[in-house]
Amino acid sequence: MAWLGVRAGAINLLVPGTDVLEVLPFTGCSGVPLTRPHFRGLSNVRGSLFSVIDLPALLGFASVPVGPEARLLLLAPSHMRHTALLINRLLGLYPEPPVNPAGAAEGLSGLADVAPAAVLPPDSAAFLGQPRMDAQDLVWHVLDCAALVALPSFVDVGAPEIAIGWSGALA
Amino acid sequence: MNAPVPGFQANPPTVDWEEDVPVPAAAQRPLQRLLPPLPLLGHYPLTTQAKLLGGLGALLLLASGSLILSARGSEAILVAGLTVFVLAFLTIVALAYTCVVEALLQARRSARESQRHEAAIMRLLNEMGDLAEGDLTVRAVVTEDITGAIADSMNFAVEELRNLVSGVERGSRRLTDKSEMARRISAQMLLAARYQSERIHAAGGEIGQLLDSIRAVSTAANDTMVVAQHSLEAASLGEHAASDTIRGMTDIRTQIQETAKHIKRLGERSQEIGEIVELIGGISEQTNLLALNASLQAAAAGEAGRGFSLVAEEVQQLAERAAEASRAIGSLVVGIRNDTIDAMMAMERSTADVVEGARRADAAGQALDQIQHVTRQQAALIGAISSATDSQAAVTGQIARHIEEVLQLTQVVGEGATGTASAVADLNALAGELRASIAGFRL
Repeated sequence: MAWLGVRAGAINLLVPGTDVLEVLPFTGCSGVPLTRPHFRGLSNVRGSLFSVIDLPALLGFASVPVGPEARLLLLAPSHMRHTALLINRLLGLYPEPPVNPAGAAEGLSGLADVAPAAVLPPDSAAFLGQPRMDAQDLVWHVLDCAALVALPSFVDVGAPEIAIGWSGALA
Repeated sequence: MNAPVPGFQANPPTVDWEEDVPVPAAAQRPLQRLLPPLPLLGHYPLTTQAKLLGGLGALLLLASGSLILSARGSEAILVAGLTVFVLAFLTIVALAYTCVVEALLQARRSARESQRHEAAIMRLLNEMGDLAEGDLTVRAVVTEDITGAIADSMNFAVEELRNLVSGVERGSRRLTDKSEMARRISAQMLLAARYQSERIHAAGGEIGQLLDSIRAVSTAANDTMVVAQHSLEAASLGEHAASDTIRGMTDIRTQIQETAKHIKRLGERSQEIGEIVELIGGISEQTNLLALNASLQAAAAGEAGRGFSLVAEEVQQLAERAAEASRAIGSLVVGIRNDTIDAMMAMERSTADVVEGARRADAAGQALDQIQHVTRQQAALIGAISSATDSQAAVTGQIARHIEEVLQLTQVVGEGATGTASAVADLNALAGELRASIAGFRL
């Protein structure tokens, strides 16, 4: 089984090849108003509309700029249909994730070294595995797509203040 | 001078011998008036005249008596005869008396007269004595004596002589004055001639200096002419060099422009290569993605897709190598383009430099042309100066010769003035001599 190494914000992720239907270059998408920042909009892929989720924005990093390296990962329909993850860069295919786990403190410190401003949201632990270090001293997180799509904040893309307004109106 | 000399009174005293005469002179005078002496008798003395008159009266009486006797009666003739006789007697007596008186008078008168003549002559001689000494103021007293006429004539002659000597004296005086004036004038002339001579001599020297300086100017002008000719040639050479430089600059500019065109074309080509390389990079990227997707598909196919997965992996590696190669080419092309841009800018700078150099060379050529023009004018002016100084030198030489002649003439004039001065001195001496010769005269 192959693993896709991707760059999301300041961290490196390993995505199982089976969770990804296809990799496409990102050439922009139509934005949707009154949505959360990580909901980038809708993209037309060969006639089908896909919801584009900005993964770095979800992880608390800066949004992915449109560029030649930005990529869309179309999620396998088994997880969620018509959904794509937007990442900064595709790093390559990897046969196996590294086995030696990096120390938590070490990993965090390494993470802090890489992206000191980045603060991972507390619920990210639900879909991000423990950091591991490979032979080239790169720290990796294994992305659990099933856990990701199950996250309420992943699905709930409406703007929070509007939601409050609605709830207030409903109450 | 004209003062009367003592002893010569205007009214001389009556001479004493006249009182001795019994018949006063006043008594004789009417007789002489009544009987003025005939021209034949004028020279005779009065006594002789009385004798003749007595004789004549007797003759007249005799004649009248004879006439009466012949014409009348006897008584009458007697009376008449008596009367005539008496009368004749009386006449004879009178005649005799007269003759006696006359003789006495004659004797006395002749003696007195001779005395008187002697005295008059002596007096005249005495009076004229000073005349011999040159006193022209002497005047003889004009008397009725025998010397009266002589004195009158002499007085006249002395007066005339006095006038003459006075005229000579005045003339010599005026001659002295005039000759003195002439002497002064000739002395001034001599001074002026000497001054003139000195001045002309000095002027001759100055003219000589002037001639030297004019010759120096002429020489300098000729030298300057030669220098101007040299500078003209140098300017001409410089102008040729400048035009050659301009031509060379223009060639360089053309070549640079040609080279710049080539380099620009090279840049365009490298741009095209870059675009193609970019295209190749894009294709390799797409190939990479396609290979990735293919391997994902193969992985999804499970065991059946294993072989396909290997192929896809190979394709992906190839695509990555192609992408790397195209990236390397792209960076090379970018380097080429940068170098080309640098070369283009350098070329443009070189072209600008060449244009500037050509402009400067052109300006230098124009300046040299102006220099040539100015030098030609300068040469013409120097030629004019040279010819003018030549003619000046010739004229100055003539002036020097003329001054020489004038100097000679001035020397002649000086000699003439000297001669005039000596002649005037001689004239002055002559006037002195003349005055000395008439100095003996008393006027």
